[in-house]
Amino acid sequence: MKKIIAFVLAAGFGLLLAVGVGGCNSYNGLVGSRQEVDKAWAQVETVYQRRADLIPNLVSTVSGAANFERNVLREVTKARASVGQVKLPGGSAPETAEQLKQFQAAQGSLGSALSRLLVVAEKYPDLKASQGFRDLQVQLEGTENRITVERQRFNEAVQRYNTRTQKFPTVLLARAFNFQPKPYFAADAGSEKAPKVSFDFNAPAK
Amino acid sequence: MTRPRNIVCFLALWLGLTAFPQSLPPAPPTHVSDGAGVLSTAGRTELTRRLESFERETSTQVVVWTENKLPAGASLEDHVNRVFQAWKIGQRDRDNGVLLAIFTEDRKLRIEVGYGLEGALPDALCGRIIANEITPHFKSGNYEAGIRAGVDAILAATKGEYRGRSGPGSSRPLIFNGERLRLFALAGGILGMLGGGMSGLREGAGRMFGQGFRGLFLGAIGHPIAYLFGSNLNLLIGLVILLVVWLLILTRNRGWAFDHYGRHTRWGGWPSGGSSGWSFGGGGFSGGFSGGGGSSGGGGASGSW
Repeated sequence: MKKIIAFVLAAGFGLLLAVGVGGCNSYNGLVGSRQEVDKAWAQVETVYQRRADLIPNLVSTVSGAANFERNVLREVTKARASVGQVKLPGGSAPETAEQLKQFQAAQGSLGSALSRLLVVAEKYPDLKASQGFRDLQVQLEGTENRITVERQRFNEAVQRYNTRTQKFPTVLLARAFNFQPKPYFAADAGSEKAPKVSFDFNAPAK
Repeated sequence: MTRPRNIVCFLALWLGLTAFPQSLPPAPPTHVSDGAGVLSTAGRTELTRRLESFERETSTQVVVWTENKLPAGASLEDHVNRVFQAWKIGQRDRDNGVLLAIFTEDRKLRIEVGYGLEGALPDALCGRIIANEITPHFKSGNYEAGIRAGVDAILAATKGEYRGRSGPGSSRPLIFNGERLRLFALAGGILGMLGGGMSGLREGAGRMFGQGFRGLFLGAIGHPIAYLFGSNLNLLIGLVILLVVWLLILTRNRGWAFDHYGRHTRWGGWPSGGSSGWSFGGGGFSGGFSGGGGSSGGGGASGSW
């Protein structure tokens, strides 16, 4: 009888400790994965910024080509300006699907403007042959790839965070401390398609 | 008689299934992995030696990988990025690795650059290396010359960027990572069962499965508890709590349901299970060059010929 009581006491003590430690850990885990989402978002912003930063260089290189189609250039510059106008809460990932959609729409219009520019550039063999333009093409292509990678990682971080906030028993803490689920990047639809950058330097000139 | 054996079989199967969740190629044992067989033996040896000594000198890790084909439906950039991550190319916390991946039948190649080398190997430079150094050779079918020229250019570009120490000292994997602790919990359970069984044998066959079950059962409890606690430190705390409960149970032997005999108060099974379980920490699962890096944001360039 005594032994049984001792066992129950030990088990009860262990359980209590486990619940207490577990509760703190769950909360810390939630904070940690929210930080992770914010960090992934910062990376996303960095790579989009990288693309935007390439544009002045691209515009000056391309407009050097004889009578390059002006309206294509104007479109790119305009899209770039509109990207800068999307306001998001600084330093943290978007809270609502609406905010993320706005961001995505603006970046998407810049992406498609860039893609049109590169298609038009195909018509200028001198431009295509210049080392400066080739480098820019590779840089743009690399940037698009980085965007894909970082968006994917952002979605993964959001998934981990959202799963954590919805699992029992963490969900109780998440509700109590207002850890809202965060939106994902939607799959590319139409305008959000990455610009098709041709990087085949070695294809025979047309 | 069959039940413990079934459980062991099940655990072994579970272990095997969870150990390799992805279908990515396993990390090769050396810096040069020639799946497509385009390098001569001498060429491969020479290249491997050069890349190894380059890593010793600069800590920068350059890996060459040839393959016949990309997996069906995989995009070049995505696949190479995943492999870069899976192989953990580059040193831990530096990510100073480069993967030169070549798919001969697809006629595609990519230089994937870790975060840490994006300064030394910007995309445009990788593009130039591919266009000017590598593909001219590939076009004429001389893969070995193309790879050598490409590696020369990559090494020249990265030289000096990351000096400092290199080698195994900086790349040892952390012992307390969640996946491993979960394995320890399981291994501890299995070993505890074996140890219990052994000590049970001395006492007479009747004790064997009582002890064995106890070891296995406690090992099995460790697993979900460790899992529940999530991150590394918490796993450790979870295990410590488990050990306290475990010891309490073992020293108060009679309260335990599986023990039919009750008079035995030795720590059957525990020492062997415990000590053997933890000693796994030193041995690495990682073979070959793996440096513990592997973060690449998709830097580098692709090309075709």
